[in-house]
Amino acid sequence: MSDLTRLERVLEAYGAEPERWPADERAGLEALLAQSGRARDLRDAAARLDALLDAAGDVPPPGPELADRVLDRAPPERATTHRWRWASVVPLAAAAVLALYVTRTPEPAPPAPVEPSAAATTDSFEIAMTDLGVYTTPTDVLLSLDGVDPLAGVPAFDCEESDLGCLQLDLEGSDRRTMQQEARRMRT
Amino acid sequence: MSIVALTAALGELGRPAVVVRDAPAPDPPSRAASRRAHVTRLRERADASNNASVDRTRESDEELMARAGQGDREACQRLVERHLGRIHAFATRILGNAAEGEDVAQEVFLRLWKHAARWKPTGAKLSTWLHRIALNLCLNKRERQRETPSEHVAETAHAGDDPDAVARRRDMERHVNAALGTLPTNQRAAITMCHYQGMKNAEAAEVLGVSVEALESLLARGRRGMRARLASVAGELLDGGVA
Repeated sequence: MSDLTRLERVLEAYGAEPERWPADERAGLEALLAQSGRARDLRDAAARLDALLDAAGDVPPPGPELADRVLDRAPPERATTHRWRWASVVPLAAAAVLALYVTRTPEPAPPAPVEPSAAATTDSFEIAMTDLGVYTTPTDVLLSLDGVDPLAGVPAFDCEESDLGCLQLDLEGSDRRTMQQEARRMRT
Repeated sequence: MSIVALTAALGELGRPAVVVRDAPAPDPPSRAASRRAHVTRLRERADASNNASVDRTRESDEELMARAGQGDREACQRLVERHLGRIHAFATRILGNAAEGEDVAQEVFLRLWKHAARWKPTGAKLSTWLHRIALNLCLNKRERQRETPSEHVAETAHAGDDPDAVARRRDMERHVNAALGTLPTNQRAAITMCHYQGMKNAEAAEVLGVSVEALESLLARGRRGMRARLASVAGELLDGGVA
């Protein structure tokens, strides 16, 4: 496209004023105007139409009532913003105070060391054992019976399960006889 | 309207008048300078709407939006000062009616307030977004009403103006605005943004959702349409310079 053709198109679109032309083309087209009579004729024709368009006049500015109406509908100030700000700050502040209190409160001083006396140690031990109580298992009860020796070996008297071992009772002679009679009676 | 009357009417607008048939081809320096100054003012106004560095508060739209979303009244006020007038002018040009332009501008800002708290400055500038919303609302309005746009008619008369001059000027305004109102909406929107609001082509293209090349096509067709529509009242003037 020749420069003159482009100038014609620019004039047709934007009119005669270089201020309205595309900024990157302005200098070149103005230089063409300075050189070419034909270019100036085209520019003048565009200028006449510009002047006629300007005859439309300016649009009178709107009255202040329009601005008032528009501003009446403007967004209200967000009063809740401050409330929300406080709502978020207060718990944080409370947490900070609590943390400060916990970290800055002095720990209770350890009790002064006391030299234990022999009597005091004994008393303390007894008190402690009393507090613990005594736990007695059924096995303990069995083993505590007089006359039962769990370590006594097999075979034992009248024991029919020798593989498993039988307790041997260390009984007096009368007791032993009594036990033998009782065993026979149970078998019969 | 005669050429003399039309030329007089245009000259009284306070802007450059059309070049009459017998005038020399180059613009008289004073008129060219006046027209250039007018366009520069438009561009500065557009920049002030877009660029916080020009704004006296030096606060960007994004910063104002963040504060507006929190209900900051002052930020809302500044956004209104910065954008309401341009959005109103844009909608009024599209609809051809100042009262409807006000309705659209108000609705655009209600949507702005609604989204202020969630506004994220990604991609489009705020002014682009506002213009796009305004354009959609205008299209919806036109779709519903399907009526010929009435005249927004700029009230440019001042105390002491010559009544005949005022009448001629208003007559010309009526012709031009009526012609503008009969253009297809996208062409009218393109001309409004680029010619009347001094918006840069890239931003106007973004508002319309088209490429810059497509925008140029819309502008060229729109201007040709205006030339054709105004030929009956200003044909000699429009054709005067170029064979």
